[in-house]
Amino acid sequence: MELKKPAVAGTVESCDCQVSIFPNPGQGLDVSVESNVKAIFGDSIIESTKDELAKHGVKDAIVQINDKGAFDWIIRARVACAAYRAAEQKFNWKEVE
Amino acid sequence: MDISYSRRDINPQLSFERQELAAFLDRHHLRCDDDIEFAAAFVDDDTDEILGCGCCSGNILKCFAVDEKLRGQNLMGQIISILVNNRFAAGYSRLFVYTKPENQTLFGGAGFFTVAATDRVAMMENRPKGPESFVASVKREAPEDALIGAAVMNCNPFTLGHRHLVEYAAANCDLLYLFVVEEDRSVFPFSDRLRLVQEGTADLPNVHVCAGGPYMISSATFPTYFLKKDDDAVAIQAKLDLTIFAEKIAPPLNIRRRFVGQEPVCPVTSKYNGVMKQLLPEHGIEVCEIPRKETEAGIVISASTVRECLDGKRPDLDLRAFVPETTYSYLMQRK
Repeated sequence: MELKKPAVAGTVESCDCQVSIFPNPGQGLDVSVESNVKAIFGDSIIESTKDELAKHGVKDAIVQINDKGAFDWIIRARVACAAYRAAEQKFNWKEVE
Repeated sequence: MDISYSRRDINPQLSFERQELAAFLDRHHLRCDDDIEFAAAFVDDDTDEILGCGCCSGNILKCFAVDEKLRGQNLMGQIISILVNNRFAAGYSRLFVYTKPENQTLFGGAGFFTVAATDRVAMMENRPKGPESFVASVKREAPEDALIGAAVMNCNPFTLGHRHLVEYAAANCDLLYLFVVEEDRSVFPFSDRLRLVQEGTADLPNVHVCAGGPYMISSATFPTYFLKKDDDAVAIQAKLDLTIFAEKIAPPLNIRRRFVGQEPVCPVTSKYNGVMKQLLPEHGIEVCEIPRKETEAGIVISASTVRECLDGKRPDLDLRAFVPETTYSYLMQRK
């Protein structure tokens, strides 16, 4: 999936995260995280983000995550949503099982 | 008692909504800027009164306030989230906040990073290391002992006065960074202004013309909502702009000299120059102020005079005495 424009998903409310995603043609993934719990969960947030992007075939992107203590599945959902917005594509709910 | 409230978007183009917003901001000693495009608010479910709001214009978020009754619930986080979503949807992904320095933690928690702060204002943006990546994008390699200079210009449009300053500056340093202020509220759009500067200085090999990026603050877009009525907005903006230059732009580019044209007419620019002469030397940057060039008839060359000529207000003047050939042909085509 190719990103066409910058996009954002999520909020900076407690237990959520805000994911900003930018096209990065041919430059791979660059994921950065801000979080109060970065010392403990920073690496796992980055890992989940990369995994989620790989699932949707996003190879090149700059991703900034501003985490407010979100659970893993929230982070994944926000990442996927931002990516689909950036790619100007509709999410295919039939793929979810 | 808990107050129940809900979200309401405010359309500042509607005069009654705008008045309501302005009244709320006024209660919090903030001014409602004229150019607000969108405002997010939370209102009391019973009375429909505004309890918190945040606004935006272009790539700037501003005019934030939350009622005392609702503080401590991170309403600001919700407001910022709404504004950020709104701006991305409107095509702005690089966002800036100008606020009182004591509010840096608040916006820091919402994903904004401080670019620079003075005693009166902090500038923040929604990406880390913004100035560093800007510097990397304009940097030219130069020997360590080279004397590197810089000038910042609006060039609206590029005149023989600008040419004079650039020639002088280029002769008095080894490499000159020439930053063209990047905003589109001038008479001439940024891309045209940049091109005219490039064409008008193409023969000077040690001049590196670059886009000023978001860190050369234009007074046209500097928000003043958080200042008091008798505050000197020009001086506060000048100090912020020059602090960014002195702390974030000049050191990594090794700039040690800043060139500026003397300002005999415009009080805003002349005040800006005054702040520059005080602030930059404190950071080890020398300021060279160069007298304005005059035409053979003894008239000071300024871009504003050129614009007056174009508007037909100065039929006594010949445009050719004010602008280089490149700018002249552009202006003639544009007519």
